[in-house]
Amino acid sequence: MQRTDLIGRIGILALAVSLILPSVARAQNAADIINYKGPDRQKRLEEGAKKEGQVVLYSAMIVNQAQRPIAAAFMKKYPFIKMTFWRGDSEDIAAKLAAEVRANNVVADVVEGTGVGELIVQAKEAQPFYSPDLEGVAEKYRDPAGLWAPTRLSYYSIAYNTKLVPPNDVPKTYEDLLDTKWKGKLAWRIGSSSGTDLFLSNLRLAWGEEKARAYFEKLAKQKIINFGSGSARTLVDRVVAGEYPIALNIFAHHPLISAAKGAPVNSQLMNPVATTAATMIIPKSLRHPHAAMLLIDFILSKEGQQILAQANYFPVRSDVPPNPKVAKVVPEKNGYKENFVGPDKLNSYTVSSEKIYQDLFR
Amino acid sequence: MATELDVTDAAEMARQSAVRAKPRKLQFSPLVLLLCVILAILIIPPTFFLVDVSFHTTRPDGSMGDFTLGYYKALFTGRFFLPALINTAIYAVGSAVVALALGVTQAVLVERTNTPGRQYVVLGSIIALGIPNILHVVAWLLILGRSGPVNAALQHAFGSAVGINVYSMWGMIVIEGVNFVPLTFLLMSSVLRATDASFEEASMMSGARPLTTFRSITLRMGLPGILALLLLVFIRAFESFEVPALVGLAGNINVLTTNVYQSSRGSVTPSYGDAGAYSICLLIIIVALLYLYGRLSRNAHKFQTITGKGYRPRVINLGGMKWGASVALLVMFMLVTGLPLLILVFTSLQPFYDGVTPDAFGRFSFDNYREVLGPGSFRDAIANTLILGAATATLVVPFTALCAWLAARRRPGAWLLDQLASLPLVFPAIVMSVAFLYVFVNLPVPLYGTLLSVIIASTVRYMPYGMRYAYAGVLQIHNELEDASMSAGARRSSTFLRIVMPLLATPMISSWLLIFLLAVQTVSLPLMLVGPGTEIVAVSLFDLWQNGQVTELASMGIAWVCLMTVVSTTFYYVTRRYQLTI
Amino acid sequence: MLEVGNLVKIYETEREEPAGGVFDIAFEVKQGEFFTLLGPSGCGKTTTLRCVAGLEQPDRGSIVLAGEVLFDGATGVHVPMYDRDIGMVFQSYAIWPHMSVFENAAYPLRVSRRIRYGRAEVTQRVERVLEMMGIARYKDRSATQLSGGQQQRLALARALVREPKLLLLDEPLSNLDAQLREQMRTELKRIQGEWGVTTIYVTHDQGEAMSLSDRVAVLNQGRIVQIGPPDEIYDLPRSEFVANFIGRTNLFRGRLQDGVPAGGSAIVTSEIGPMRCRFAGMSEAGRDITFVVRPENVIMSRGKADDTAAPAGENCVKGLVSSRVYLGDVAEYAIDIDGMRKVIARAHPAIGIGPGERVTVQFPAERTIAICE
Repeated sequence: MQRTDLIGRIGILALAVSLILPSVARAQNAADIINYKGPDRQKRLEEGAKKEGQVVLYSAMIVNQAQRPIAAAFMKKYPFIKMTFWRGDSEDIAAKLAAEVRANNVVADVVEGTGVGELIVQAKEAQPFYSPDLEGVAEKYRDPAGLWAPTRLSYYSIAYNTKLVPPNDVPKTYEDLLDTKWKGKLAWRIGSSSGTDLFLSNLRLAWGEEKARAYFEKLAKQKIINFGSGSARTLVDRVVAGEYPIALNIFAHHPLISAAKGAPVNSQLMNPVATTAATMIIPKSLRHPHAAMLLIDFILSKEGQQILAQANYFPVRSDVPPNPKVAKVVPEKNGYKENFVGPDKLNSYTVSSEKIYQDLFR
Repeated sequence: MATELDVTDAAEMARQSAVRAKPRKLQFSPLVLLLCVILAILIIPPTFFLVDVSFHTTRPDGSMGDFTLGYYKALFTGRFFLPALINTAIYAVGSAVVALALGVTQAVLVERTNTPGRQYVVLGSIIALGIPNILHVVAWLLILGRSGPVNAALQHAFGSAVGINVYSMWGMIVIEGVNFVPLTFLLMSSVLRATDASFEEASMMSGARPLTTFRSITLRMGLPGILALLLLVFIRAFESFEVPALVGLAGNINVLTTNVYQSSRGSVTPSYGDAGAYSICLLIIIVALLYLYGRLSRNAHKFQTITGKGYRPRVINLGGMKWGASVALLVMFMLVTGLPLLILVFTSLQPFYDGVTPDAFGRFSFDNYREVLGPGSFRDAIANTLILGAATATLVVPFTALCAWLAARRRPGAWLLDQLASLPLVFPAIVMSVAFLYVFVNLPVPLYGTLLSVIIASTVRYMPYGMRYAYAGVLQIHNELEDASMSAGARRSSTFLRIVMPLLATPMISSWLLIFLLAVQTVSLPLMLVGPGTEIVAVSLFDLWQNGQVTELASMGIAWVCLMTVVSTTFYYVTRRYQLTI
Repeated sequence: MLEVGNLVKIYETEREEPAGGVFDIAFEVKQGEFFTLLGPSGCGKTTTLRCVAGLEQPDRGSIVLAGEVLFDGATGVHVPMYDRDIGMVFQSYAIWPHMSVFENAAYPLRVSRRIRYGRAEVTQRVERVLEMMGIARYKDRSATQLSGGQQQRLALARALVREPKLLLLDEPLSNLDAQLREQMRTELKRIQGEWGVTTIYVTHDQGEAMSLSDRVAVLNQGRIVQIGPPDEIYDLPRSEFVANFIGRTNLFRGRLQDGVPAGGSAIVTSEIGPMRCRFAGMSEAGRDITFVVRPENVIMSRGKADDTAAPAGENCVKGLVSSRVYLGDVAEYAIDIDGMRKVIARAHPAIGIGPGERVTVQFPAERTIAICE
């Protein structure tokens, strides 16, 4: 039995009476549009979008470098569509969308972020869609069920302070991290699915449970510092400042951006390199399906992916190269093995990884 | 003894006691009832959500699952509970002591002595309040961190083995305590300013020195205000999250809030059950504390000091000691405002931060400012944010003044107003925004995602602060002044508008400014409520916090502080012009 | 006991303009004397009192109590208020609400530094002083439970418990109702007499000043305009201000015909005719003179209905009663002289003269006082 609070009940009743029929009809139409494959797809979408007039994006991407330029370029291409966006952490996006869906008051048309897509899929609040621009993306990054599309890749590595860690001492493999000289000198980010949980899930997937568990038990002896309520970026800043010599499982490109400005920091990839993809989904009962599809096409297109590359994100399209400033950390191009932790794996492993963390490392 | 006098005395005393006896039935005056209903509408739904979510599991789609006592069980029986509880107690008491010691000292020096430079303390506090909370903590970590200037200086002087570790209990206590000083200072100032000078003069004419007078008379008579302050500070420490998370966790020190936070992140979907359970426990505690506070200040009519017979707060001439006091004020100013600002300015001019080194000075540039102040989310957000702050303050202040007056004058049922208005104190930020999200998204009225919804949530959140300010202010106004008005023919409403409000002007103005500053820098509350296209600075700040470097964050913070300072100083000088003091 | 010399304290507004204060105040108070500072609001009496108390610091001048210099502008001595052996009663009483009656009165003994009082002695002294004030039976009650009059007596008890050299009272009776005020006035006089403490009393009520004081200093706009015993102030005012301020008076102007020595009497040609006046000081002929006569000294007699002749007798004028006000113990008459000037007369209410009647008004020569500066 689904429980809703008192106000919600009244609200839903009121809405239901006035909206139930039209919304069912709306849902039917939306499914057709977003899966349409016919030759006149672009024309239909544009015509429909003209009537809709707007589109809303919820995304975890950085606003000034990514979301704004995307909106600007998108609106330049389609002047009749007003695009607005909302920035939040993946967890917050999931919570917000869930609340909207349950209240039958969905504002978002496209939702993007790392981990958030899967939450919504699991909650059965996403609907399948088709975009021709998906062809430009490698198979392994796509969803066979068509419920989500990848937008950008993230690579994770360690970051180290070049003043505190001489070049010879830099740990180059996960085993190197077990060296006693690093006891109490490692830090990692807790409280996020791309933090400790990803670190653990990555190794479990690549090595298998037994080997991974043995490794974790040894790693626990290193007394890793639990860095909480801060972003991955903040942790890298701490490494730059010399607070921690080494940080585990941060975004590999962050140290490069700082180093470019002269900061004494560098990243070091290790096999297997944890890789995730941010994904975007379309919620059920969205309001602007035509415009939403145009936006999805755009983000997956060369132009959209180039904007993401400018923002130092890693494009998921094979024919768009990453920003030269951060190209150094693309594993396959630099002799490392990428371990893609797909969105489905990310979520299913997170709970058990979190338990391992709570048992061994907290 | 002359019997005439005794007769007259007896008659007068009989009259007074007749006035004081009031019926003790449970009744509500119509106005109180109306206000209770308004408050209830605002506060009950989020509270209900908290209760609901703490007793039910959360399904993946966010809906409530089965009834469970699991969260409460986990709260009290987890192996982390007892150490966290002890830590929380130490942390709460410690930071309260620091905040009060510094705040009260400042207030006394400013309001009651002739220390040179005291007129700038208020300004300093207001500027400090304009610094967003996250940045305050970040600033102190930059200063006291392993690579910061303090450790560098210590190592320089005593060798590399010496150093301070800020990621410790004392680090948490100092940072949170200092963070709270502007609030304690402003509240305490308000209390001190309103005390009738003649009480202290009488003490000194009886031969008591200034210090004795302060201890025996001033402090005792300001007790209701001080108690209110203690309540605020203590509760705040219990539900405080940023400092324990940023400072404590890295030192492996857990308090109850970070405990809850870590537990709640244990599942895939964010589970608010743990936070909800914790909030409910806090809620019970605060209701108990408020009841205690109510009983202690029940006799507060004894402490009415604004009697209309002419009051001028007395200034103590410190003589030669005033220079020492001046230095003390300067030191406190540096702690509360100066040092954080300096380090933030320093950091904002850097491409990256690695301590305060000679090299660093060579790297100064304004690039970060160019980024932040150029076309972008920050610029667009300013107008909305100012509206948010102004609207919140303008709603909270008169509303709480009215509620406080009704409660302090013991109108039937008004004790409920005090309880209701103080409830939001316990809502931890992590849950408050979600609670409101749920309320607004379900409303048939299209409030969801609008700035108005943020304003409403913000108003609820800051109601307790306004309430404490107003309550302390009203307590000090003597009944007589209102009686005089009513015997002249004015009804209660006119009395409130023409007599009480003007007398409350001073604390109300401070309250307004305080709430404005607090409301504009809340990060967590608007985050979830704001809709696409509604820009708020707090969100931009958070964006940089997640995705940008500390140097960029510092520059946005400084830009923001400058803006806040302009607003505050304008406010300050405008009120000075009209001879109302903050 | 107390000598105040050349006291100056000037207040300035925010824009540094002068906004009142006292200028060149000087007076002496003898041991055991009841000395009153009297004047309208803003005349500087409270300022003077607070300077003596040490609550304000004068700009210039000197204050010496029992030979000890409390303040001297020249040498820079300024003894802080808590080191002066002075007890003070405030206008608002300033009874501390968080203490009992006993504790309020005991406070000065408890905080005393120069002399340490033992517990037994404190109890003894406090109970004695509370007994004297008639409030001993309330000693354990909270101070806020006392009535207005009782609080005032508590304030007095507190001021006296240390047996100070000087007692200062700042308009202590102004908050009481009329009946209580009279009772307290009597009490105050009695207590002050019994204790024999040198007292300075500040008030704007000249009735209080007259009834309580040994000597009165009248202040106006920051300066003392006359000092003397009450009867002197009342009967022999040395300025128009004093004449008008103290009691009601009839005031007339004229010119002195011939010169007159001190203590003598002479005719002044005035607006209501020639009047013989008493002169306290010498005056030369032709001088402009102001003279006064108190209403209660004016003699009123019925004129005959058709009497148009000039009135016989010295200092007599004819007039028409324009109003009569009944005050309980007296009746006050306003009499028109030649349709222009009004004379105020007071008489026993039993005298049945009413408005519209013709009367003859006479000013007895020895009660018609010429104002000599």
